[in-house]
Amino acid sequence: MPRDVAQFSDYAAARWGSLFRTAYLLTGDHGLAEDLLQTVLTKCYVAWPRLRASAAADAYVRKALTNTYISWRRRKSWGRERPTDQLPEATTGDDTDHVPMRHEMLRALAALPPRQRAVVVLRFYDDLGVEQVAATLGCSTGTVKSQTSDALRSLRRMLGDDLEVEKSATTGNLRRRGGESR
Amino acid sequence: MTGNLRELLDGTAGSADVPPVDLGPVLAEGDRVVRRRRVGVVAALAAVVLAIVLVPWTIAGMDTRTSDPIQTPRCESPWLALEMRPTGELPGLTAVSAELTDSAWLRMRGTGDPSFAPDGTQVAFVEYGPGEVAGASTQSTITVIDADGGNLRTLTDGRRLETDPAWSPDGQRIAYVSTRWDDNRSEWSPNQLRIVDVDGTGGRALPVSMEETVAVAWLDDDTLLYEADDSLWRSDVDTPRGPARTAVSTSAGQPWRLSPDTETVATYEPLPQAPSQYRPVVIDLDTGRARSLPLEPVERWHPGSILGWSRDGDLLISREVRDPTAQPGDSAWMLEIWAVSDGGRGDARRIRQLATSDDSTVWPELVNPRCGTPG
Repeated sequence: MPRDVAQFSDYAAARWGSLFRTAYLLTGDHGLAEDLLQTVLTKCYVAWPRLRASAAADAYVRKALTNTYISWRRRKSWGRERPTDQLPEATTGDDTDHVPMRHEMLRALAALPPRQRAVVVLRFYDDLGVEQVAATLGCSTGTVKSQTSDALRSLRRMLGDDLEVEKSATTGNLRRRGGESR
Repeated sequence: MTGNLRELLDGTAGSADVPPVDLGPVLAEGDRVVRRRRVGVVAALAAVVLAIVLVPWTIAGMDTRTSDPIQTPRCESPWLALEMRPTGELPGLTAVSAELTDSAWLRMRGTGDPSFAPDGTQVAFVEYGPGEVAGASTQSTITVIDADGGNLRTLTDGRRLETDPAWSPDGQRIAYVSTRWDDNRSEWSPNQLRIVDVDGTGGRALPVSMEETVAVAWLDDDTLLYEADDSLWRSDVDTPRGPARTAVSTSAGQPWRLSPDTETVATYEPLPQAPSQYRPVVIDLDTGRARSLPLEPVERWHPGSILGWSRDGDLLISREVRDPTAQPGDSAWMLEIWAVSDGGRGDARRIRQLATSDDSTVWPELVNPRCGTPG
């Protein structure tokens, strides 16, 4: 099947913003997020002839994003990124009261091991169910649940016990944004 | 902090400054991968060419190194070895004397992870090769050189990324972490824990490989302590006995250093009441009990580093702190080196203060175990 560059470009451009934000939550760094996104889109472009005919592209990209992040995160060079207090500036909205919380959120995410961080982002930002997260990360649903539990315990320890999480979130029956059940 | 996790994640992600769509590198790299896959014969030939290229690269590296020899470390002037990482360049090692006046010991671009042999006569280190992806090296060798600058030899073939060399107590073997970048799949292979004899023979992967293995030390000549899956594990090197989890969790993702008595590790952990801050602690391997050190917590994202343990029994720690004298345009941070006496039980004293700059990373690595605490 020929490679349809225009079709891939349309797909990538449409997903660019949302994928970048997911990459940003995973990496906590604008530059690394862009590197990660470009690497993953390259994989997607190479695999495009077998992806474009189905809805598989989103799942493929999400899987590539998290797995590439985890594999990169294992590399020591990431651990040696120069520590920085130059936090990204908020560019949307004027809710400056929330900026410290976002900083705390990024710091807390950064303290999680890579798989736990990926689980948190996939489940609570991308709104995936346990089975989808397990398929994305290539692990069992039990592992996803235990990683979720460990991650939430760590986040509460770092962000406070009053951090709210839907109860169903720990059992795999997540509530979509807007209240739609899954 | 009160908040809903989902809303916090939404808000945090929404605050990201999304760069404009730039598919040029994606298409260019993608086309390159596709072309490479289509021409399998050429790819095989390229592998042969790569092997041919690697040999002169290694030789060239040796030539470079021998032209810039290591000077013998002097214990009468104790020093710190620093890994310098100028922006956009590979790191290099520079030793700095206690007086910060002598920095001539080691200046090799593309090197890192120095590890002294137990008797202090040799240094193992990582030398990075030409491979790179997203600013991270994909190839390196474990290289050993006498502390007087002679007898350089490369113990591994340079086709994988190999880091974190650690000497066995008898000085006969080196353990390290190894992985491989798959250029076609743009993925790293799971990390392997490997050992090799110091003469370059006997290299093998240990059957304790776990995907998240990231660091290793020796408990004795037959037993390794390594980090994997958010814990520290013990494993025999020469017997098929399986690994045993210690009581130490590494879920905070911080570096750790094994104490000379092999009973504790020094690391950082988040403060229970202020989890964005980290404090240095010494943790017992058997009980998991953590003992705080008399140092203020650090607040930076990747908070400092445990440097190691000196011959004097001091625990050496680096900390990045705000520079009260910084002028506009200067780095707002500076690096301090602290020593905590009596294995971390005694007093803490600041022994060095280093300026940092925004265009380079300074990462203290070790103190020569032959020498005492810089002072």
